[in-house]
Amino acid sequence: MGEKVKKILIANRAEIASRVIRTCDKLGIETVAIYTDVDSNLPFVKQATYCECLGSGEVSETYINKDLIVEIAKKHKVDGIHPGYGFLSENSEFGKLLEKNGITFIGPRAKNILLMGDKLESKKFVQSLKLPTVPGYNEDNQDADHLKKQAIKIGFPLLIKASAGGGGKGMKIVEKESDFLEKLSSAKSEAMKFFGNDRVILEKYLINPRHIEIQVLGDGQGDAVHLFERECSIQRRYQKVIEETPATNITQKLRNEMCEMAVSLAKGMKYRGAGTVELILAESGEFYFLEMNTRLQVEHAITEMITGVDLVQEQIYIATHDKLNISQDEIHSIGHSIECRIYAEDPFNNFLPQAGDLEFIGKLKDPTVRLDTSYEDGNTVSTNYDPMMAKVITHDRTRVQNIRKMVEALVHLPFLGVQTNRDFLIKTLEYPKFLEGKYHTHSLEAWMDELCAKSEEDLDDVFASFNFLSKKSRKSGINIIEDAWMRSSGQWLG
Amino acid sequence: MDIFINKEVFTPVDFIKSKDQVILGKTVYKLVKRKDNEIIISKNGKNLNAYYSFNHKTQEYSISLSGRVYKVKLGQGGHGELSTQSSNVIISPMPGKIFKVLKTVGQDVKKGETVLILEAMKMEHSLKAKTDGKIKTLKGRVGDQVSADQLLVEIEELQS
Repeated sequence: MGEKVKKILIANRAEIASRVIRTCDKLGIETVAIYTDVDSNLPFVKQATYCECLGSGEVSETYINKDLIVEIAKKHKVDGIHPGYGFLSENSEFGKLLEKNGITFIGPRAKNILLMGDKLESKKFVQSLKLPTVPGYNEDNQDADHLKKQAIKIGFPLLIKASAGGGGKGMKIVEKESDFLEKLSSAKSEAMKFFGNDRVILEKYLINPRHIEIQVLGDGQGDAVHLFERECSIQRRYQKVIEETPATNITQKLRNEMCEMAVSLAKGMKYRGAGTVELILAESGEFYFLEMNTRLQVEHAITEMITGVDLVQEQIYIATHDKLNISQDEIHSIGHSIECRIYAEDPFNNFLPQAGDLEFIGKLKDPTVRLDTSYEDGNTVSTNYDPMMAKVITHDRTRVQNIRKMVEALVHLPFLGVQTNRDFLIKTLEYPKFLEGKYHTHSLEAWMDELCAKSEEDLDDVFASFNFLSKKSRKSGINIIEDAWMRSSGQWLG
Repeated sequence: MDIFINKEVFTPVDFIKSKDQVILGKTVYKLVKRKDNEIIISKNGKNLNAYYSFNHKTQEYSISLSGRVYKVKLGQGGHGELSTQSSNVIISPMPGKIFKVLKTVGQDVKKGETVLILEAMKMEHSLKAKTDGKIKTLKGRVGDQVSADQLLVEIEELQS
């Protein structure tokens, strides 16, 4: 691959920047990192071959400042730009701008991004391929009374979603007909506020749905392969917390159908690069297209663990060769993989984002555990960006063994110094219904009271540990105890 | 002695501390290993792994035990009491030399009475009884070197 690509700029930060650099290093490709002042001490900056500071402005002036990034890319004569996830990863304008400047965008074609970026258009397109979509209304007529009639036709409960939305913003559940108009106006005002467009779509609301997504790779010419599914139903307010693959409690037949559906879509739209087709799986076993993410996902690592495929490497190959480097019969799923996202947030205080100095991340006792992070001891965690600090990824032969492995890994990764959700993750992994594998997208919220309850703790153990610590602390000059003792009862000898 | 665990006061019951062990009621904790932010202690013979860090600004330890993080800090007024925790024992607060022994085994002592004097770091430290009672054991003679947290005196408390 080195012959076509010699240098890549990573238009992102933190763990995903480190992740992309790792593959580039493996392939002998030089890297350029961009970073802001607050991020200057994070490891991704020094991991890259070259780095460029963007100053300390807002995200719009730094990480998503297209012109500035292109300027840096030209200065360094890079062959391509990897956008990571978030930021400019699904920005079709950016792809076009790069094309104009002769720089390869390591991602899908602008038309792929545009098509899938609009909920209305994407759904229409999926329907045109005779692939399943959630029953609903996705027409231009946005008249409130007309929408209400359509809602009655679909039936309650139903969902009102912002056409240009995502992340749960501008999304409302309507339980009954009489609530419809009120919820509609609040959905529309939220949509206007967040996306500058108040167009909404209506959808059948599925009870106890699961969020299953299929990883695909497309060559941009109509060929595509899948890399199986990821189960992402453990979510809190539409933010994924734990992902696993294979999904539990589904038949091989259903798995095949979902994977084939994703491949049909990727082929049908001549998708280029790595993408993810998100599906809603109903209790009945019916599944529907939800949306397609035209980028590398945060949780891509679990797919890499079960297939052995380096998705970043495939992305770079496809972007520079316009063909696939792997065929479907070469892709196999082995064992079970799980990912836990470590967020700097306080589960016992409404999951408020936290900041602070990271004193001690922990130890990787098991060398098979993958820790994707761009923090090291001594780094400051700020609330300027995403609160996700790290991803812990494990792989083992069976789900049961793997969950045990993950719990063990997390026990050794306390992330001391900043309040994180680590303890919450451990409790979730050990929660009986999680262990049974019987859960859906609303499960975590339903378990929340129990997961956040103060359980029986052995404070004697904590007290004993503290005593051993403070005793030794005199050597490192901390001396709280002895200093105080001397002040209170010591006397100077003549 | 009080400490704060997650901002709540924790007062140990039946607490004895010596050089490398802590006894809480019937549970004996021993220090097994302490290295690179990791501490291993044995609890009645079974090992417990913990991780810790210390924040100099807040003077607070973070201790991760069994997958949970606790913030631990000495309580207000806890200063100075940590070295002589349990009322019926006297423990050396630091390494030093026994300068004077003022009592013998079997003798009665009153709360606040000096039992022995320790010389350390050019200072003289009076080690006082924290309770009324009778001297049960007295380990150490004048001139003996003692280490920190060594159990020196046990006092049999008077039954009331």
